[in-house]
Amino acid sequence: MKTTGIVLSLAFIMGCSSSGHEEASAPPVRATAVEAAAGIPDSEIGLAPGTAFEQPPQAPIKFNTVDPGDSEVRVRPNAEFPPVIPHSIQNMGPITQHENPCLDCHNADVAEDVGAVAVPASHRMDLRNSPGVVGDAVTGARLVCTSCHVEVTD
Amino acid sequence: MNNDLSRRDFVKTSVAAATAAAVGVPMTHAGPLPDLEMGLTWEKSVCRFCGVGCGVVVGTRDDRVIAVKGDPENPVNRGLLCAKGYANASIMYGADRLHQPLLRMKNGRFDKQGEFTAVSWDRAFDEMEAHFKRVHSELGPTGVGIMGSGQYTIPEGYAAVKLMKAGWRSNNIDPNARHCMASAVAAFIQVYGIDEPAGCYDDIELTDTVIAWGANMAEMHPMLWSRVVERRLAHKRAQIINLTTFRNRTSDAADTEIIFKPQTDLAIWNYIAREIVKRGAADTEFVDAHCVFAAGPTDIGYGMRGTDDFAFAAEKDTQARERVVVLTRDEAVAQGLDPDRTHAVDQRSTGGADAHWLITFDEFKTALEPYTLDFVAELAKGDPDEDVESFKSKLKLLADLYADPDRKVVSFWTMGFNQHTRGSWVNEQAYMVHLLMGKQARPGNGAFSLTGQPSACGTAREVGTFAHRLPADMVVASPAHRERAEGLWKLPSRTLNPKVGSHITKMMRDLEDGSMKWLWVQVTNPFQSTANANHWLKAAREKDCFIVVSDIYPTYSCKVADLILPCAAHYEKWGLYGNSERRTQAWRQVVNPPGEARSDVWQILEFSKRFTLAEVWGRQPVPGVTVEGAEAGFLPDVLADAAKLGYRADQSLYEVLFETETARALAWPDPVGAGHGNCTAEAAGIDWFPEKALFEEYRRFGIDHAHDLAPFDVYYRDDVRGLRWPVIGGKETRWRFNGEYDPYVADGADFEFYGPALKAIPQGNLAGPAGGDAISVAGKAKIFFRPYAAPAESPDAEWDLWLCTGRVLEHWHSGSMTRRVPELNAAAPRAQVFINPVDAAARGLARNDVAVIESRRGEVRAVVETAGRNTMPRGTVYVPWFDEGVPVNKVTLDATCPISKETDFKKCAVRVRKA
Repeated sequence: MKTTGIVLSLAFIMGCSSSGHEEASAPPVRATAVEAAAGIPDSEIGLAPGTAFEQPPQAPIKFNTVDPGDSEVRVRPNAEFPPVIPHSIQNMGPITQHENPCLDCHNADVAEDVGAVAVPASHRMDLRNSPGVVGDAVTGARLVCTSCHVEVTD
Repeated sequence: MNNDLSRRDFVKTSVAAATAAAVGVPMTHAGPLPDLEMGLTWEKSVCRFCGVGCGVVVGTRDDRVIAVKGDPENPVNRGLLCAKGYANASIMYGADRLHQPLLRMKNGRFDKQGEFTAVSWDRAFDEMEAHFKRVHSELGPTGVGIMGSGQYTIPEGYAAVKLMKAGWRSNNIDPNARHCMASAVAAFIQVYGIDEPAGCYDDIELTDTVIAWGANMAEMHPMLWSRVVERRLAHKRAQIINLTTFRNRTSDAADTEIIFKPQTDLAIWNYIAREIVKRGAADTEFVDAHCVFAAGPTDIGYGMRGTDDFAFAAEKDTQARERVVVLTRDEAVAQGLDPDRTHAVDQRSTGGADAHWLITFDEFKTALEPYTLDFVAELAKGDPDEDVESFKSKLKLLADLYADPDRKVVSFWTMGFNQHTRGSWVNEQAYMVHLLMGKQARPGNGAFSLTGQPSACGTAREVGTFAHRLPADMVVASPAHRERAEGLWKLPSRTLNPKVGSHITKMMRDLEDGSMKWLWVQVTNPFQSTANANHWLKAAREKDCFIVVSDIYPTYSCKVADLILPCAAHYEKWGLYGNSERRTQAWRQVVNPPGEARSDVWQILEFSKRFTLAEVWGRQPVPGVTVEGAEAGFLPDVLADAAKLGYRADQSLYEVLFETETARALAWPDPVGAGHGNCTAEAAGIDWFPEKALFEEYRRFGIDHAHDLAPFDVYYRDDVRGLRWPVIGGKETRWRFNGEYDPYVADGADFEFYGPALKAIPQGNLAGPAGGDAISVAGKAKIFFRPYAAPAESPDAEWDLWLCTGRVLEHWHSGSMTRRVPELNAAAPRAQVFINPVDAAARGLARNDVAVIESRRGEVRAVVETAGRNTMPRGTVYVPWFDEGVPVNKVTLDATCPISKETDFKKCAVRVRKA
């Protein structure tokens, strides 16, 4: 039977290797309970260190400060997962009915010129009302980019 | 009647191939299709997360889910998913997935102070059984409880409720959905006599106006929001209004944002109703034919304990408001009282908060009279930096939209209404306005309650995993309902316990006061999600109690558990969910659970083997219960009657409740599952299909009771993407109560609000019931007058800020799954406290500083956010609850709506300082 120490290292290795992602990671797992033959105290399970009566120290969020254009495309966990946003969006205005700051660079007609990843043709197909037809513009259903594409911070 | 199935077939054959080719999605109708390029097998399924109920296709290879994408065939989401939806592929594979039962042990024996040690399932059940039987013999059926979930699959919830109510004769089963939509349920029952929305998501594409009240749909229901935004952009006349207590992402794509003060939604609705009446805009033909007017008591307290024996010293002043409330000046005005007098009101109706009676239209009109634009604007303006005239113009716009007879309107709401100490009232007020205008149960028109969880409707509500409910809208307190359930369950008469059990918050209180000592937590994380958590955490660890937590990961609740049971995750088992639009959807098991993880159905069935009828169907103590022919305070011995039904006293609950003759007739393997495993049947070593047997038995409750579901196999058909009940003759129902669409409406009627519950009430007036016989209001909907009432706790000089809690887009509920997904964790790594920059500066706080958020009940630390996705008005802070490292429910108040017993997580008073 493995000891808790071995189990902890196993969890660390699994935590790093499971996503194939270079930078994003899940919160450090305190201990995997998978093979707790030796016994694990409640302070050693879960995502927050300590018992339920203690609160772990709070560290500042490491905001993404990389400017659009300076960022690298990240590896996706699988081919279907929407690409994450590798650059800062903190100083961009909101996506409204009239303005979409993401499309200023990512719209297909400008993306190549500015070195951004272009919105694919799938995003110009209205799957509800005219499936099969690729239109000129990103569909209304896909207006809010941040519903699917999330920012990388910590 | 509609013809959705045939229309869907047409859509499928005409455009699906083109769709699939263009977006790279393989056709998924014909069951599993190998994807040669990726080597994946794809299967239609359902998202694990919110109440929207998006369709997904799941790609597997080598017994592992590799990818998930939106199902273009599913009308809910037409191929799109939010970030969480795509993470369905990753959430099962966190590094610390539970593989074995873990029991607190010391020196080889169970010890409440011991460390978690891996044990066999047999050993785990031995310990669970021993503690159950010890507690059961001491306290009877009320000493044990199950906390369930709106994330239960339908078969799981049905198995749990049957074991609890029919087997153990206890009503102490209640879901986390109590925290989520109990207020919506109470209003549906009180207004319509039957649960769940009249309309459906199709309303979005048919409406002119979407008004979100206390629903940050852009983050919490993103794919429904994408439909709303699409409609807005495609339809020039459309308008989106966001009513909220702080600016959020839903405001971004809205036409108008209205920031109101917490709790004043009650006053805003009455202003709108007053305007409709004053302008003569009401649809009087509809109202006269289909509605009545009603009112109820106002001295109903705040759902807190009646005693302060267990309150911390600092809590006692808030607690006292359960007994006596001194009305604020605004409340006095709003209730038609003299605002210059002091009104100290004894809260006499805390035990009968749901009572109501008929009033006349003239009385209704009189009650609305105080809700003038001037009064409501002064009361409700939520941003101190907004000019009152600007706020007034927005309220007027709101009234204009609702009162325009030529404008279709859908009102959506979620937790802002439901988690509210007057949550049932404010739900009813939405129906008040929609019914006055006849904008209900019509395509493109309706007040529409959205749910948070994937099967809050399908399981928690429809199956009835609540302390007061039975399947198909029946309740334990009704003799007729108990008799029907006993018939369908083949139970001796008087087996079922008529006394309503403990709701989920009360179960926590029961643990603290020692009236419950054995608790099984299934598919939920209550020690993170229940308000005022310091009490419950302490009770779990220090009281004489045994707590079992079944989960897929070691959650925050596991930290205070005595036994942890490892579960199969969603795609590792068979299941069905029901979403917010009454759509029941099904999925197959596509991969096997890891290690010794087992499905919840297996756990419930297996544990039921450990009880004989003799142990549970004899005479049982239930404090306060009265059963005809039995001693007061006891459930009768039904073993003799059981023998007449052919049961033996030494038979197990498993044999009697689950392994029935009809269940065994449904064989596993089954053609519907060709090529798929069934972890429940395999672990149990049985040759019948438990999930199908449970569903088919459950379905019988709803047939001919306006809850008709289709047979199990239909939901698995390649051309079906869920069906909205009632399903009659294979056809779903889009608009209930509307004669054009709903077969339950009487022939020839245009509308009929046919729900059977609470349809005989006395006449009264605004002061109370007048006495006399109950009057039938069959077929009618009730338009309630409900006044403004102040919150249970409001900011003052010492506790000077409002605290609101809620969710974020990236994380599901307590984060136990999504926080283990690297991409989602990186996007929202920790819960922050959102605060207005002026409020922050006044406390010496800058962005990313660590702050302490403190209430009468407890404190947490969180980093400060003065920018980002939410913009707080001065006076209000927001802390999401997904982060077990920031357990904000140590700070929140466990006051509830006295009718629905749903906690108000949106309002309590706190102070914030630099750590």
